[in-house]
Formats: sequence, C-alpha cells, structure tokens
Amino acid sequence: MTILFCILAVFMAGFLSALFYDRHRSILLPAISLLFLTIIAYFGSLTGTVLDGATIVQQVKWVDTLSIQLAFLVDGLSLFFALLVTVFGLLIFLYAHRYMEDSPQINRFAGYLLLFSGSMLGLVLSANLISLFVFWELTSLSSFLLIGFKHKDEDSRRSARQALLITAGGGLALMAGFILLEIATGSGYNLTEILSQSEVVADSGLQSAAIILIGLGALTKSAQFPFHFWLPNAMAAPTPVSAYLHSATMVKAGVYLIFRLNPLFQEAALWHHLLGAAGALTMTWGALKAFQEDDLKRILAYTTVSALGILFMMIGLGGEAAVNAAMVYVLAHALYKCALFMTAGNIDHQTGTRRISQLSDLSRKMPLTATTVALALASMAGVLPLLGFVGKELLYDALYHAADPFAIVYLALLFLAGALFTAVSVDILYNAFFKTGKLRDQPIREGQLLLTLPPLLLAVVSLLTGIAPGWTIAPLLKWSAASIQDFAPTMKLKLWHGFNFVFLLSLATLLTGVGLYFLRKWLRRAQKPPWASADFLYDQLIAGSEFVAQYITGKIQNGYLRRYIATVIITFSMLLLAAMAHGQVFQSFSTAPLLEGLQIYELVILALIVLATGFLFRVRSRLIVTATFGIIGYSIALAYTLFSAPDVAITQFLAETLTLILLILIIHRLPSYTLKTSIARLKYLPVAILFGAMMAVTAYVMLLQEKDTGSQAYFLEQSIPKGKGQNAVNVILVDFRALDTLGEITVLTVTMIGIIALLKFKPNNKKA
Amino acid sequence: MKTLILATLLRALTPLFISFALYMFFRGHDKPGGGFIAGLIASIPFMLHAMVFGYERTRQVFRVKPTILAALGLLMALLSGFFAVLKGEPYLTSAWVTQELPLVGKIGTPIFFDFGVLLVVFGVVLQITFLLTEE
Repeated sequence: MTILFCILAVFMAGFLSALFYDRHRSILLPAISLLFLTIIAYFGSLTGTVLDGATIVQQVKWVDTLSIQLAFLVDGLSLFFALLVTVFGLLIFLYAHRYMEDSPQINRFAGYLLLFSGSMLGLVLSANLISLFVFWELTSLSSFLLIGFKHKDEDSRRSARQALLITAGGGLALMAGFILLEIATGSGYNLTEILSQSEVVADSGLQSAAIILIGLGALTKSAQFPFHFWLPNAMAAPTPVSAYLHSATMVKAGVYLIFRLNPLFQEAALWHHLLGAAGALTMTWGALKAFQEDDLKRILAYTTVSALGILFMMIGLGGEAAVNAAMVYVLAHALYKCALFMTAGNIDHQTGTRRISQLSDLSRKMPLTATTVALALASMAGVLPLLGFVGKELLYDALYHAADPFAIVYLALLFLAGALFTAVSVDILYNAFFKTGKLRDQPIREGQLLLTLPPLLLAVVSLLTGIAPGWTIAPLLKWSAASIQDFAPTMKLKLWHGFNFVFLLSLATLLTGVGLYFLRKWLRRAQKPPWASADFLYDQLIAGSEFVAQYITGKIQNGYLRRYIATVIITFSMLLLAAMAHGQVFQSFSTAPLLEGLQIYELVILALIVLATGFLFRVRSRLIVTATFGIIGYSIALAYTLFSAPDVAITQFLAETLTLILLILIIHRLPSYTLKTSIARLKYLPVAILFGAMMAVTAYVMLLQEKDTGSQAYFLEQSIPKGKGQNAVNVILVDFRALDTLGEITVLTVTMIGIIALLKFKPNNKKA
Repeated sequence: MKTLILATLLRALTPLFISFALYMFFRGHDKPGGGFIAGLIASIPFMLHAMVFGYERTRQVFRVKPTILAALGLLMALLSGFFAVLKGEPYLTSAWVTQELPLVGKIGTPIFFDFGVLLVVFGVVLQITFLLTEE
C-alpha cells in the first residue's frame, strides 16, 4: 500500500500545483521537496532488505474477476530506478522552480512535471503488465504535454505531436506484446510469474512476435533507430524537461523494460540480434550527428540517443559482464547528462543563446557552471577519475572478453562513438568556455544558486562515485544487475584495473577523439541528402496518411443523409444475413406458426400499419409524412399493449408523441424534398425493402429460436426477493442491469451535447 | 403559435403533469412506470410552454439550465452505485433500508438511480426542445 500511496501523493501534489503553484510557491515548493525527500527516505529504508537479496511485493486488490492485481515490486532494479526517478526529480524540481519562475504558466508546468514523476515512479515499480502499460502511456502523455509547453510555437507543437505519435504508437505495440505474453502464460499479467516461465513462452510459438512487439515499444520510447529522430526534436521543451525526461528518466523507460524482460527472452537469438543491431546503429549514428550540431541541447540530445544505443547494444550482447557494465553506464550517463542539460539551460538563461558558435569566454564569466561542465564532459568522454571512465572500461572489458561473433564489430563501433563523444566534449569545452570571442565584453553573470547547484552536485557525485565506486554504488548496482540475470551478484567495481589492453583502448579513444576534433571541418561537411533524413520521411508519412484520409473522407462523407443511412442499412443487413447463414438458422424455417392463433384485432393493427406505409409513397409534404409516421408508431405501441408489455407500450407512446412534437418544431426549417421525381425516389426502394425484410426475418427467427436460457425465469423469480419490486422490467433496468442503463443515460447525455454542438454551430460564424 | 386555450390550460395542466410524472415514477417499481417514462411525461408541459409562449419566456420561467439537470441526473445515477462499493460489494449492487417506512414504503439506492434516469431524460428532452424553439 505504501508504494501506491507514494505514487498517488505525487499525482496529488501535481494536481494541487496545477491549481495553486503560482500563488503559493512559498508553501508548495518546500512541501513538494519534503514529499520527494520522504519518498526517497522510504526507498532508502528498503535498501537494507534489497541488499540482503530479498524482493518486496506489495499487492492491492484490483480487477479481481479477471485475476488482475495492482502489484508493486521492489528488487534491485526497480529500487535503483525508483531512486533515480525521485532523486533526480527533486533536483529538477528545485532547478525548474527557478528556471521557470517568470513563466506565466508555471502552474501548468509544475503540474505536468509531477504527473510525469508519479507515472515514471509507477512504471519502474509495477509488478503487473497492465499497470506498467498504463504508467508507460502516462509518461508518453506527460512528455507530449511538456514538449508542447510553448504551445504558441508551431515547432513545439509539431515536435510534441511527433513524440506522442511515435512513443504512444510504440506503446500500442507494447500492449499487444503484453497480451501475447498473457496468452502464453495465463498468469493474470503478473510480471514475476511471467518472468519465471521463460520456457513456457518459448514453447508457445508466440515468443518471436512478442519480442518484436515489445522491442518496438522499447525502441520507440528510447529513441532507437529508426525512431531516433523524435528525441532531438523534443528539445523544443523547456530545459528542465530535457534534463529530466529526455536524458535521465523517460527515455530510460525503454532500457528499464528490456532490462526487466531480459530474463524472459535471454535465450532467444532474435532478442539479442534485434536489440544489438538497433543499439549499435543508433550509437554510431547518434554520436556522428552530435558532432555535426551547433545547438547545445541538440548536441546533448544526439549524445543521449547514442548513449541509449550503447545500453541496447549491451543487452543485445547479453551475459553477466555486459549487464553489469550497462547498469553502471545507466547511472554514469544519467549523472553527467542531466548535469549537462541543466548547465545548458543555465547558459541559455544567462546569455540568451545555446549555439556554440555564438558562445565564448564562459569560464571567466560563469566559473561554477564551467566547473560543472568540465566535470560532466570529462565523465562523458571517459576521463580517468570520473564514473564515466569506470563505465567505459567495463563496456570495453565486456565486449573484449565476449564470445559473441558480433562483439568485435560492437567494440569497433563503440570505440568510434567514444572518440566522437570526446571530440564533442572538447568542442563544447574549448569553444564555449575558453575561447575568447564575442561575449568577452558582455555583462554576463553566473546564474542563481538553484540554477547552478543541482548540476554541480550531480557532477561532483560523478567524480566521487568514480573515485570510490566500490563502496558507494556497487552494493545497489550489483543487486540491480543480479535481478535481471540468474546469477548471484558478481559486480566488483574499482577505478583502476591496471595497465591492460582495455586501459590502452580507453586512452586511445581519448586521443582519437582529440584528433577527430581537428578534423571537424571535414566531418561536418558530410551530410545526408535531405530525402534520406528520418524527419523528412516522417513528414512524408504523415502527409501521405492525411492524403489517404482526405480521399476516403471525400468518398464516404458525401453530405447526403440518405446515402449515409443507405450505407449503414446495407452494411448492417449484409452482416446480419452472413451471421444467420453462418448459424444455419434458415434450415428450420417454416411459415406455419405465423398464422397460428391470429386474432382479428391484430389484423386491424397490421392493416393500419400497411395502409399508412402505402400512403407514405403518395405524399410530398414533410408534415404529412411525419403525421403518417406517427400513425405507424402508435400502431406499434398498440401492438405492445396487446402482447402485455405495458412498460414498453407507455414508453413508445410517449416517445412517439415527443418525437412528433420535436419534428414539427424543426420541420419548417428544412428545405423541401430534393428528390422530386418518383423515379429518383424509387432508387431507395430496394434498400427499404431489404431492411424491412431483414428486420422481419430477424424478429421471426428470434421467435423460432427462442430458448429459455434461464435468465428469463431468474429475473422473474428474483425480482421480488432480490430487487424488492413486482415490476420485473423496471427492476432489471434499475437494479439487475443497472450498469447497462447507466451506459444508456450516458449515451443520452452525450447525444444531447452533440445536438447542442450541431444546432449552435453556425457556418462562417455568421450570427443568425 | 399563441393560442389562448392552450395558454390557459397550461396553467392547470403543468402541476397535473408533474404530479402524474411523480406518480408514474414512484409506482414504477411494482407496476408499469419508472424513471424513463416519468422523465418524458414531466417534460411535456414545458415543451408545450415553449411552443406556446416562445423560448425566451420559458427560459425565464424555468430558470435552471436543462443541461445542468441532465448532468445532475447522470451524477446521481453514478453516485448511487458507490454505496455498494463502500460496503465492499460490486459497483451498483442495490442496497435497501431493511425496514419499510410508514407512508414512504421501501427506500433503497435503486430509487436514486431511477431518479437520476428521470433527470437525465427530462433534461435532455427539454434541452433539445429549447434549442429547437430558440430563434
């Protein structure tokens, strides 16, 4: 219950912020910080249990009838990610408080940010695939809202739509994959149970399809090739969002998912090839693109895409060492990337630009920021005492010793990506901070404390954990890695592994990177033709689907009500006919019972209906048509009374009367009949006959086929003892089948809203 | 459509229609009737009113917005089901006061549910009428 309470508390805080943040900052900021601290402390208190190798499961009754329970799971992996989400969440919230303070819509921003935090927390803790999926889509949704935060800007809106289409679209594939897992295992979407049944899944024949669908979900979420392009575009979001969602947390959701499901699929070759290939490609391409960009945030976005590629590639490689290395790299990347994004925002805030070509001299103007950036970039490049170095060593080591034939390719590509990271770091550090240039005489000052301290803190943590990884982060990370592999924790972290091949490789990466920096003019000239860029193809795809939609709409929505009705009736009749032919109901067809027990007064009603219908063909005035329809309606109501259905009869009488009144009210607004000639009207005669015949046959077949399923007797018997009413019809309506009625009155209300919209809408905005 | 006869009659008919609607509503559980029918009956005098006196007059007399009535009805029906949830039973399970009260008779959540239905039907029909009579 406690975990559910934590998540709901964050949502609640988001709701309150969305309403009151602007007016009550001085109360809400400490309150929300306190909330985050409490949650961090709570998860901190669970560390002891998890470090003993235990897992904690908290379960709340949810959809009991489908045996789906709302369950939360704390093991090494989810604890690590939960701490990541909350600690970074707190820092980002403090940073955003200052960064967005002049925004007139800070309420909205704070609300969205907390909505995201809660969803992400739920995602990483879910022990049930359904709730995991719901939280997954919630993070996509909050990401959409945050990217489109500057909603007056067309670029922001486009980027937000793009991110939503891709990540939520991937989410649908993920849902399908989860359903396949459920079909294979029948475990009520219970994550722990599914993970323990990898053989069952492998034997079910659904494994490959599940891997592809779930892979699609993870690849889209974590911006992997060929879905990588949404992340650089998502930089349209305010910087705190980029720092939180698009570096440390949301894009890691895909990574979390493949970590989580790794035990299930680790025997499948497809799993490794899919993730490995996509990861390696994204890693290399992202690093190359990062080096070609000028905007700080876009550079960081591409390096993020690349770093996520590394993680996917490592899971693709598989094995103990690879998983250990990936886990350390998750933390290393989150620390340096979040710090870099925050400083990028800080620089933007103080100087008004994020383009490296416009920046200079910042080491003297903003010394704190410069220190942060230097540390973080050193970690990104993998310089000696920082955590990034430890991570990179582990990656190289895992690839170097792996038996996989692709490992050597991965190693070469990682070397290239690492060198490019170094080149990017040198580029940023030298050109923005140390070069003397345009900004030399500008009055630029360091940002306020809340803007500079959170990133500095992260950078310093990068340094400290790099110096002493063994007793700072290894205990948690080793259990985190162990929870997705079936081995006992093996991770041993230290800074210095000795002067070996891997260290030489690290050194060579740095040197190559510096070398690449000097080749930048040549490297930046290499551009793809515009028609091959993913963004362009995306636009073509959207434009194409819009074209098709327009074409189809033009065909279907032709503006003639009678054609719509004809289409609906013909489709409906055909379906019904097919269903009845399939159910072989025509075999037992006989007309004998039709005339049995026919009474004279029934014939009178029948004659009335037939006469009125025949009369309809002769009239030209809408008023008379309406009145004639009234006759038919009343006759039918009369038939109900004869067959002892008084409730239905009363309703029919009333509905008929009211319809008549309403029709008379609108009749004078309608144009006269457009189908003037009799031949034009005859066109619809077959449709009318088809529908009439269809309804008659259906009613008749139902009469013949009527078998008492027991429900009729049940309702009649139980009406008084259980429903306390003698009128079984009403008891069914308001008690036994109240949910149906609830649905119906909801539809009625929605219809009313639709009618209001229809009648109040004035084309061309002309006032009537 | 100003007709003196209908205008005069309406004065007398309106309370009659309303009482008849309530009668149909309360007897609905044991004999033909119920919320849906009662809602339709109750809306008739106001429909006639709008036709005779015009939309503006009816709106002044009626005061409440029909959309609000419909929304209230939907809310009432929705909420009536939660009583069972509080008791730990499935949503919308009926709950009754165990003893029959003098004069009133049986009291239970389905009555509130049915009254919600009444309000929705009443509100929707009136809203449509008002929209159509509005110029």
